[in-house]
Amino acid sequence: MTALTRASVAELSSFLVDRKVSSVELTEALIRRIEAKNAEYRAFLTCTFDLALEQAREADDRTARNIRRGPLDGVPVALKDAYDTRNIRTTVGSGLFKDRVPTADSAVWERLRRAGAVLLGKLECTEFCLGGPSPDTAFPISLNPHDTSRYTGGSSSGAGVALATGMVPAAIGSDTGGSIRIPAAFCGVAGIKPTYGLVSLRGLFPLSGSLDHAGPMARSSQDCALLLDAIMGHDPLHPSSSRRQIPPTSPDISDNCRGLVIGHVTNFSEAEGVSEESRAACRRALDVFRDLGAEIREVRLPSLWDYTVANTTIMTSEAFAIHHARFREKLGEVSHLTRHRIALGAFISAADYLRAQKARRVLTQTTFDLMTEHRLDLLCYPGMLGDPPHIDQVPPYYYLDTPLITAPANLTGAPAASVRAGFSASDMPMSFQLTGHMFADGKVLAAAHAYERATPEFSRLVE
Amino acid sequence: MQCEQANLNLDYLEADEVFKACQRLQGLLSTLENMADAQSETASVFQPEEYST
Repeated sequence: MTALTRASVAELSSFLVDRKVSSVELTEALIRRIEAKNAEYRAFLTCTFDLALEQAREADDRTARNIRRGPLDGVPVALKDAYDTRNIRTTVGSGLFKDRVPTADSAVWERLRRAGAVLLGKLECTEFCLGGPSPDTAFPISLNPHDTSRYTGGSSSGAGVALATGMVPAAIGSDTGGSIRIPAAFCGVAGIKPTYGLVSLRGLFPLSGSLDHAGPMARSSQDCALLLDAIMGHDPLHPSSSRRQIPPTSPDISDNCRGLVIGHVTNFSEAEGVSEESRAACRRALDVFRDLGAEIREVRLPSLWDYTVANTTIMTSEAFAIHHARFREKLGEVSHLTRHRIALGAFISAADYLRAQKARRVLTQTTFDLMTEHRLDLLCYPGMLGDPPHIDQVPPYYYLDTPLITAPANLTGAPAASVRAGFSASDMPMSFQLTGHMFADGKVLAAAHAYERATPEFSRLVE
Repeated sequence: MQCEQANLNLDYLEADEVFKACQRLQGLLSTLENMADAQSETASVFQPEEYST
C-alpha cells in the first residue's frame, strides 16, 4: 500500500472503501506529518485537528453503515485561508484579519463538508491574495520545499507547499492572475483554474470579483477532477455563479488522447520573457501528447502583454475598490508589497478600467474564435516564464516588468490546468498549461491525466 | 496630490515607486487603445456562457 502521506485522493478513497485504513488512522497519519514538517515549511496558518478527528470518526461511522457520501468521504483536505469557515479563524493572510472568525461557511467548504471531507486546517495565502512574498507580512510566508530560498508562487502558497510535502492530499486554492497555477507550478503539484463561474465564490474573500476563480489543487489531475466534481455547481446565493451545469469530470479520465486536437501556442516566446527551457519543456510535453494519439497544430494568440495589461488593470482597480476604505485607516498595518500593489488602483481611471474590460471581450472572443477556426480542443503553452525567483528578488510590480503567462485564462475565463513537466537545470519543477473551451474542464483534466500517466517520473515529491 | 485625493497616507508609500508603476501601466494601457469592441460601446458584465460552444 502506498504510504498514506504519498497516496493520491483516488487511492485513499479506495483504501477507505476497502477498509484497508480508517479515516481516523489516515487523519492521524497526516497530523503527524504536519507536526513534523509545518515548522520547516509553514504551509498551515491554522490547524483544526480536533475538528478533523471528529469528522473522521463520523466518516468511519458512515463507512461502517455503508452510507458513504462519495469518493471524498473521510478524505482529509485543507483550504486556502481566504475561504470562510464558520467559527474557524480566516485571516486572508493579513494581520488586519488576525482575529477574524466568520459566522458562515464559504460555498466551497459547504460542498466539501457535505461530501464528507475532513478539514485539517487553513493554508497560508499571501496577504489579501496579492501581497507575496513580503518579508514584513503578519504571518510567516510558506517556503518552497524544492529550494527554500526560492518563491513558492502565490497566492495559494500554503496549498502548493502542503501538497508537495505530503501534509495533505487535497487542497482548495483561488486564482485571479494565476494564484492556483503559479504555486502548483513552482511547488511541482497539479491545479486547475476552472471555467469562470463554475465554482461559487461565495465566502471566498474577493481580490477582483470579475476575475476571481475558486479551484482545486492536488498531486494529480485525476485528484483535481474528483475535487472539482464535489465543489462545482450553480449557487443561487452568488451573482457570478453560472447556471450552466456540466457533467462530472472524473469519469472522463482515460489514458489516451486519441482524436484530441491541441493548439501549440508558439508566440509566447523569449521576446515576451518565456525562457527557452520553459518552451522546450512545453515542446516535450506536446511530443508526449502526439504519442498518446493527439494531433498538434501550431497557432498564434494575441500578445501575452495584451492579456496581462487588461487583467492587471481590472484586478488592481477592483482590489482598490474593495480595500480603499480599510486602507484609509490602516495602511501602515498592511505589508509593503500589498499596500503598494493595491494603492496603484487609486490611479486607474474609470475610462482605463472600461478600456480594459472592452479589451477583455475582444481578447476572449479572439481566443475562442481561433480555437474554433483551427478546430482545437485545447491550447498548450508553457506554465511559467522560468524558474521561481528568489524570495528577495520579487519586485513590487513584477507583472509590469514581465507579462503574466497565467493571465490569458483569467481574462478569458477558460479552464486552465497547470501540469508538471519535469525539472529544470536548477532542479526546480517545470510545468505547462492546458486550457480548453469554456465549460470543457473535463477535457482539460482528462488530457492532463493521460499525460501524467505517461510521465510518472515527473511526480517526484519532497522527502 | 493624487495620493491625498485617494486618502492614501504617504508616510506608508514610496510615492516614486507608485508613480513609476502608474506611468508604466499607462504606457501599456495605451497599447490597448486600438482594441475596440465592435459589439458595444459599453463594457458589459462578463458572462462565460456567451463564449461556450
